[in-house]
Amino acid sequence: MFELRNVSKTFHKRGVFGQTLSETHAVQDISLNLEKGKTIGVIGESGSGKSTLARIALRMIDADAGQVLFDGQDISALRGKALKPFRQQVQPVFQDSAGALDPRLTIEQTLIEPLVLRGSIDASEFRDRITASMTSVDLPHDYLERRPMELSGGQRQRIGIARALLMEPRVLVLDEPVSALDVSVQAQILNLLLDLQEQKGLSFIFVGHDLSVAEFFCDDILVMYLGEAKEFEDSRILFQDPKSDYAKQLIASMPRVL
Amino acid sequence: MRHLFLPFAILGVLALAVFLGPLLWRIDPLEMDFTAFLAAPSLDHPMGTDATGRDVLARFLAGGRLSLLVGAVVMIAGLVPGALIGLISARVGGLVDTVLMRVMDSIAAFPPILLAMAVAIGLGGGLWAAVLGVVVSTVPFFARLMRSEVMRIRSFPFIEASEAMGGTPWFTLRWHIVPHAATTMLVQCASVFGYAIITLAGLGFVGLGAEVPTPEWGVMITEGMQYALTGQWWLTIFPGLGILIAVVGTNLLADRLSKVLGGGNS
Repeated sequence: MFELRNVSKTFHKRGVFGQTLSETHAVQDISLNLEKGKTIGVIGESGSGKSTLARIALRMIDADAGQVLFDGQDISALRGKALKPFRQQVQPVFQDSAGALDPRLTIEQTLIEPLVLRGSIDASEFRDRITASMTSVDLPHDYLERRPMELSGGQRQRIGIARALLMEPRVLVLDEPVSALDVSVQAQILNLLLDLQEQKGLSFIFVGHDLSVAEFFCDDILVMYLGEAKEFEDSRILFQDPKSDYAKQLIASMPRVL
Repeated sequence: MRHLFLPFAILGVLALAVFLGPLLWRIDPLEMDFTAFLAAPSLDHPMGTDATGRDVLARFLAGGRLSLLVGAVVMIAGLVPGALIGLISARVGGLVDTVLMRVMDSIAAFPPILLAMAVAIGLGGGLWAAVLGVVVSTVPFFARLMRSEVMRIRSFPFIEASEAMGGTPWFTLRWHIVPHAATTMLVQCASVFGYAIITLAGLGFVGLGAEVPTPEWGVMITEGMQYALTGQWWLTIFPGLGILIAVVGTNLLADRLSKVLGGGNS
């Protein structure tokens, strides 16, 4: 359904005269195919290119090579208005729940934004849709009057998820959605996401560095190191029998109950 | 809000006095009282009279009106082009950004008062030439601040979220960036207001702003200066106090505004 085909991205650091000082191969020849209702985990240490991959999948940055396909349609060359249907289908959830919400706006104003941007929804429906979205992320409706800074990190992350869901997407790109949260809250958010996945048939791309979270959360896992795919495997198989040396090292470094 | 009470009280009292005062105090600021030259403050002339018998209170009130008006004119005339230049610079980027910012840098390279003087002299002097000079010197402040605000706000994930939902650059500008930048620009407006008042009084003082019979605080100080040593203190003290109150009020307002508005900003 949602496919990245051989995508690559190189960042150039340029000097005063436009000459290349250094090149970073952030993403090199990565492919993945996400099916309905499934979760693909992209894990790696910082600098592995996993967030760059997420931003390519969101079409926030253009890949240098390769294609992004949605329902078989190549959308990698689309821009502006032509991207609008794709934008509705694929939504991000960010790590920094505070930065992801405009601090000046109330929660209600924040949740109106996706409805305004969709353009096809009548203003009379806004109120009902917003309260329904608050219910779906288990937040009380009276939080609508509050501002992001009056909420906890976990509550803000729920608002981020509610905002994404108001676009009625089929795919969520979760960029380290729980890394900034307390461990006790992490499980709540992950369970919420799994419930929503089941109810709405959502597909997830989960970007993270926490292997135990990925093992619990993902169907397939792509292990990245310095922009390259080291291993792409079913989650259970990967953790029982890692093939690549890098994946072996990563899994060996996981804290385990002895 | 209680932080804003003091600056609003200071500026409010001053504004009420200078705008409504003339309704109660009906003496013409240019009218000469030939029975009272350099008269000390009394019931007839609460702030005394000057060397040609003009009532200092009436001149003080008229000068205050002019100062507040000029402060507002400079503020708006500097804000509009400055904010637009900053916005275009940040949004378009590239060569446009470089060119616009180098132009702003070259204006800002001159000490503001010298630049204002140069423009005022170039245009043949007078109050409005001086006002234009001060406006030109404030544009780079607004432009640089606006540019850095737009760039700062644009780097937040909520802008990326907006773009991922299909928000165009124009939409994110209206929905997120400009409302955020507006609070910072408001603080800058308040400080420019005070800066304009003191700079124009300064230009009037050295003879490049308002011209001599005009009731303007800077001009009044120049006219009264020679009598300060002979004991006619009321000619310089009252306009001096006027400048002090206006500038302390606006600077306090700018300071308190940045505290109050800064609270909601990340």
